[in-house]
Amino acid sequence: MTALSVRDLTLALDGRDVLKGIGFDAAPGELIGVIGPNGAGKTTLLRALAGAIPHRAGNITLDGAPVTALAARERARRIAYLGQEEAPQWAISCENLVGLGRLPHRPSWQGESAADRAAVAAALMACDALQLADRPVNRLSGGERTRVLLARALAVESDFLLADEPTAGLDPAHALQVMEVLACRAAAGTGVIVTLHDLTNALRYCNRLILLNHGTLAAEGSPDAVLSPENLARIYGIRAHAGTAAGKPFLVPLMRTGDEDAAKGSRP
Amino acid sequence: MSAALQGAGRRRIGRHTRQALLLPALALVLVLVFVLSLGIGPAGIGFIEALGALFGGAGEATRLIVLELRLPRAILGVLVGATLGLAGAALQGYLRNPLAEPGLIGVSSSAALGAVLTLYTGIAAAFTLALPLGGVIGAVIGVVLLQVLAGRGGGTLTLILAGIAVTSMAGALTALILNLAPSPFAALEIVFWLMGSLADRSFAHVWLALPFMVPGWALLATLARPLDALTLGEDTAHSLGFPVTGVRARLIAGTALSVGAATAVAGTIGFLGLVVPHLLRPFVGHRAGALLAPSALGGAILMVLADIAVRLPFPGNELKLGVLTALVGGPFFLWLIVAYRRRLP
Repeated sequence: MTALSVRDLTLALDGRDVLKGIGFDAAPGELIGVIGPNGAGKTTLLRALAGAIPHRAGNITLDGAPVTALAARERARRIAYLGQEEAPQWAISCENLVGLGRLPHRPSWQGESAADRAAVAAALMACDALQLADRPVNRLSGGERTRVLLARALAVESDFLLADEPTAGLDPAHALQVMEVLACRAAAGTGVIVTLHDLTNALRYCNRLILLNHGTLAAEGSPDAVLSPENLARIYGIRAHAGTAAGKPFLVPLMRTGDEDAAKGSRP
Repeated sequence: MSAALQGAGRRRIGRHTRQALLLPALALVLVLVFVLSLGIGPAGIGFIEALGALFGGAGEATRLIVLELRLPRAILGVLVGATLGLAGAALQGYLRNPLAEPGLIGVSSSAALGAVLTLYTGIAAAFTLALPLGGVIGAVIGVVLLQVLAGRGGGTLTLILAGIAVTSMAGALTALILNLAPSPFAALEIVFWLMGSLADRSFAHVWLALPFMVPGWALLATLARPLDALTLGEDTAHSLGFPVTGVRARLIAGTALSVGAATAVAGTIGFLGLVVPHLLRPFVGHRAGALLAPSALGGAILMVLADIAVRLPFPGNELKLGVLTALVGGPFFLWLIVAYRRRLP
């Protein structure tokens, strides 16, 4: 059974502890949402899992073996990462950009194989971006670019996919589309770990949520349990309205708990 | 709909053939300009005669001129041009910045400072490898200083400012050496050397530079995939299995070895590393890794062509190679700045 395990993960950036004793497991086929207020350590957690920054203490293991013991290539094949501020510098075609996701699979000094081309086409198709294949990436709209970058990460065809706020800056339709692609990928057997700010998306699409606060694990479990009114008040400092419409759950922030207290206090 | 798809397919096939033909086409052009270069010079030996001399079918004097003067000059043109084109493409790819170039970021001027130091102190006369070694050491110090000043993933502006700082520091020290030169003739010799030229070079220069250039090229050639991966930034490159620290070490060593040696034998020749990758980028679909080999060939072509141009009859002294590339490259750089101005921070 393939599994990504995190134990007692502690990590400091610029001398400040950003993650403290984080631990959780991720299995194939799961869509795990990492949520928490700004500065909680969500992005840092994903970057550490992707191997972009070294951790100071604790373990990240893949099938029981520490990821640090894996060759960089092997790790790259097993865990794909979609960063938050990926901005392609060169005007390469979308097809070539998505093809970058195949780099960990290609032996040195060899061109694209048929499997590589098939994976690129499948990834573009999954993200509804096949018609963009020939377009230069610098001439895409925000929504188109997000889809193509997501396709790049999908093209790795990894066991685990890490996506850092893939819905940031997208209009509602595109955000829903991205969440559907991730859910679909999870259903196909990939372990997907995604950081989110939108609580409705977290509630609706994720199998499990991890709530971070000041670099510690504040709560973990089913979306309903993690997004309890107590947690929302304690961690986010908000009161929210949860409900269901057309069979789909939603969660709308109503007010900050500070405002509520102030409102109560001002009443005689 | 199907017509549109077929159109896209045709465009794609056209693009692939164009990219596949690029390297053979550049190689062919390089052979042509190389032969042309053998046929140019004050001795009035045409290139057919020169070709004959190359294969042992001409008079003693002709053979001497072609084999001992023109051939090493043409070969050095290829070596230096390929180095500058390749290093320019690698630096642009690594820094994700179309304005990077060995000359603009201070590598050439620090290599020149190192070489000038060996000339001034007389070490260059004491043992043969001193001049290229001086150039390489100067280049290494320049690149390391640039890294410290610009930091990791620094923006366009930081990089150019750091390059200006390194260039002006190296320039100040070079000026100091000129100032302290024992005689005006020694100073003039250094100035002419700094302008960059391939005139009066022999095979000794080729053998001096090659041992440094070849490992430098080899290091830069291994960067093709990491540079592609870096298209999406350092974190993504890392996640694709290319840790950026190793990439940077290879880039620094490769640039310093090859550009240091090139500067040591040919002086400072600017702008070539800026112009060549820029001209060829559209032909490789803007892929950073695929740009390396064509840039080396394109750099060699442009350098040999420029060296032919400076040998054409010209009133007064022979134009120095570095002066010509600066005269052509300067306006090109201005145009690039205008074109990228909207994207600069």
